[in-house]
Amino acid sequence: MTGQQEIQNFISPERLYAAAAFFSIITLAVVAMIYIRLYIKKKTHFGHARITEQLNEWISEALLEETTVNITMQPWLMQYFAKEVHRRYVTDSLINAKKNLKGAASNSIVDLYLKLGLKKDSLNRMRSLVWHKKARGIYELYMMGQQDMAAEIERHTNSWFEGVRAEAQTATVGFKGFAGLEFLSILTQPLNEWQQLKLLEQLHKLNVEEMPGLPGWLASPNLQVQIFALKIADIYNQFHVHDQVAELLCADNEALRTQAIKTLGRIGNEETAGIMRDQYRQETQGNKKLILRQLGMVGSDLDRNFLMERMNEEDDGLKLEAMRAMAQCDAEGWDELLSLANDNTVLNSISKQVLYELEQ
Amino acid sequence: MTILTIATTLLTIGIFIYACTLLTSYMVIGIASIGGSREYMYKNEFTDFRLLASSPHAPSVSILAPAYNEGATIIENVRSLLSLYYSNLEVVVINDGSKDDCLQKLIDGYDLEKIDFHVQYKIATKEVRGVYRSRKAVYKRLVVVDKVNGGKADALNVGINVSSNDYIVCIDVDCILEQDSLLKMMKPFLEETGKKVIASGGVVRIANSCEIKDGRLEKIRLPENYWARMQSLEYIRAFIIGRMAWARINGLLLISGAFGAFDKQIAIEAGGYNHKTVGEDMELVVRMRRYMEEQRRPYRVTYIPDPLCWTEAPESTKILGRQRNRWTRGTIETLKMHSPLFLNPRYGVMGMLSYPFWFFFEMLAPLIEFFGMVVFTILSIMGLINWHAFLALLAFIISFGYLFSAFAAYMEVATFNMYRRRTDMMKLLLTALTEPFVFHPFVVWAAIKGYVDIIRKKNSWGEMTRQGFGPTAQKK
Repeated sequence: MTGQQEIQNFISPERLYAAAAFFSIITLAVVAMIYIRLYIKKKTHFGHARITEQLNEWISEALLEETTVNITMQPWLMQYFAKEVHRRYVTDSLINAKKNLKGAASNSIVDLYLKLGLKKDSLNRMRSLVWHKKARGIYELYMMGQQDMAAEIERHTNSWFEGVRAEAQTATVGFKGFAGLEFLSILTQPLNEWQQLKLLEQLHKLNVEEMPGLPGWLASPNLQVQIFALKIADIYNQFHVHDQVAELLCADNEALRTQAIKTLGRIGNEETAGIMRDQYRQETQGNKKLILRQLGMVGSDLDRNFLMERMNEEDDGLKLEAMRAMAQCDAEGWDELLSLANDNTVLNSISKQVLYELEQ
Repeated sequence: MTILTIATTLLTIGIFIYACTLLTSYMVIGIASIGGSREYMYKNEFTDFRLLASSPHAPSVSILAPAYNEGATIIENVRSLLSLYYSNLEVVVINDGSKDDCLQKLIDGYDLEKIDFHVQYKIATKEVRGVYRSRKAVYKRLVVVDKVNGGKADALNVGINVSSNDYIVCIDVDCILEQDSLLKMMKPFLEETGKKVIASGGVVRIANSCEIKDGRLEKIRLPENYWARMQSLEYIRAFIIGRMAWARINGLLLISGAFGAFDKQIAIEAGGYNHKTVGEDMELVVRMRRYMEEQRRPYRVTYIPDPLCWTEAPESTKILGRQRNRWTRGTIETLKMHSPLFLNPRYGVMGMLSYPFWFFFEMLAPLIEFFGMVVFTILSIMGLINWHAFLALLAFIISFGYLFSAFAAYMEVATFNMYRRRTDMMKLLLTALTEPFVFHPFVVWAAIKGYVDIIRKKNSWGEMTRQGFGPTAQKK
């Protein structure tokens, strides 16, 4: 039998028709699923609308009278509450309401959450083995300010699951403030930039406290903990770690050096400009620009020659940054540079841009 | 055994293997997309994207919007871009030597003045005639660049050269972006740990028949026009299923030119957009990936399944044909430029999976289908068709196609559910029934014309007339 015959036998018309019938049946099933899904979504939508009406009444009552709300569950509402999807919706609605409130009003929302028995749901979720349920449970407990769960939540700050540890870290910092950052000392899992940003935004709302763990975090074996610690040192002007930050300029990782350069620009002292100048030649093009930018902040007339030399660089971007730095930190040097630029088309064009920027 | 028998046997076996691989690929892609979508939904279920809108630590982003003869709608389009939620944002509009009053309208509308700006030609481009900024503080995010006409790729390269931020988001200026689109688009870049995220793509949806007011989408509707509606289904299939699945295995080769975000430094190191192809969006992604592979730097190209960008689809066969012709030429040119990737293990998933898939099932598919149609016509004239077998094969292929379309519609409902009315879904499914007989043959024909144009070395974009979203807009 030839290959062609074998194929023809394999894909005989009967078999093809059978497969087509099979596909058609699945297609019809999928179409049915589409409509069932649309129906469920519509039903859920109307259910949520009814719940929202009742919920708004309770919230208004709680906010206006600042007393404990008397919850009476009508049969229709009890029916809705029997379903997890609706209880989850109520929790989400309460969280959204609480986000916009403070003080006693916020406590009233928490009171409502407890009275409706929604904490039990959150706890069940947190103790689930499914990562996204666990993450959601932690989120709900934190958003509802359930401090009594702080210790249990904190245990998940180094979870293998990214979503779980992110929520646990957020909750821990939310509950304990700066002291909550202690999880950084034991963190072995990655701490991505999004999570760093979230934590920084959380800390931003708090009064600054001592961070005794900072030197340890800067020396952490976890690269992202080091980067985050550098950001903290930068934002909260932690001058006492200057030398440790300067040492990180010799790190192998470029992102770490980048952040170290940025931080040094903020916590710099009279030695910083010299340290950065020494580092300049070994750096990548991006970090060279960054060093020049930082020199604008920490530099002085002592950097004049160094900045003047940059006018011979091939990359116009480096010339631009050097000019900006000179304009910022050395008025005399800037005048000298402007006279030099008069005889050079490129430098003249760059200097005009810097002058425009200075005017703005 | 005669030569003819050997030839037909080889052809039969070849086509059989091709068809089996294609169908299996679609099934694998479909399954992979389910996991990808679910993971994304769970991960971002209660994410507060507003965090990025106000945070001073958010990464800096430059939107690059090339404009050519967009005078009729440029003011509204730019206003829409300026109103996006994002704190660390710059909007760079590049006037690519428009012949209409596009630049003057921008100058008047936003009180622009020409400023002293030293353009660094990090990527070689046509000459920049001037850079403009507004005198009004309220428009401080806006930068307008006037340059000599050089095409979309050249305009985008100018945008890269002039932009001052770390990330670039390249868009079509007439697209409607969701207000929170940048917040969502930038998150994957911040989530990188071991692998550098070099680019991120977003979903593009069809805005025909939608209600749009002041550059914002007010009400979503399924397009009334048949061709646009068919493209809605096609886009759902491509974006919700195809790209989601490819992104999951880090094999994405195409980020739509209408809306894509890139790490600027990597884009520059890779050489920026290539103006020698009409498929510059795909070519850039392939080149950036190739660059990273050759540098042995771990990287990812990510994808956001949220519907963030809405565009106007061609409603006439004339314009649709031109678009598909161009897409075919872009694919052929890109794959030809990067032929060393083909089945090359050095390039990982891209070399062993993505490139071969594009080569066999995107680039060659129209040729094979057209060849099949020609052979079928000849054989039927000669009375050599086994109609029983033919009808069975046709039923098999068409039923599989319907299944895939129904699955795409289901994924749409299960995820973002943009078309909520049952009648809309019914219309979409009924439209899918006509695809194998109307839309698909037309698309194959347009692609064949693309092949012909490639042979004739035609490399123009082809005029793309648009209706515009406003009541009076009619631009080219």
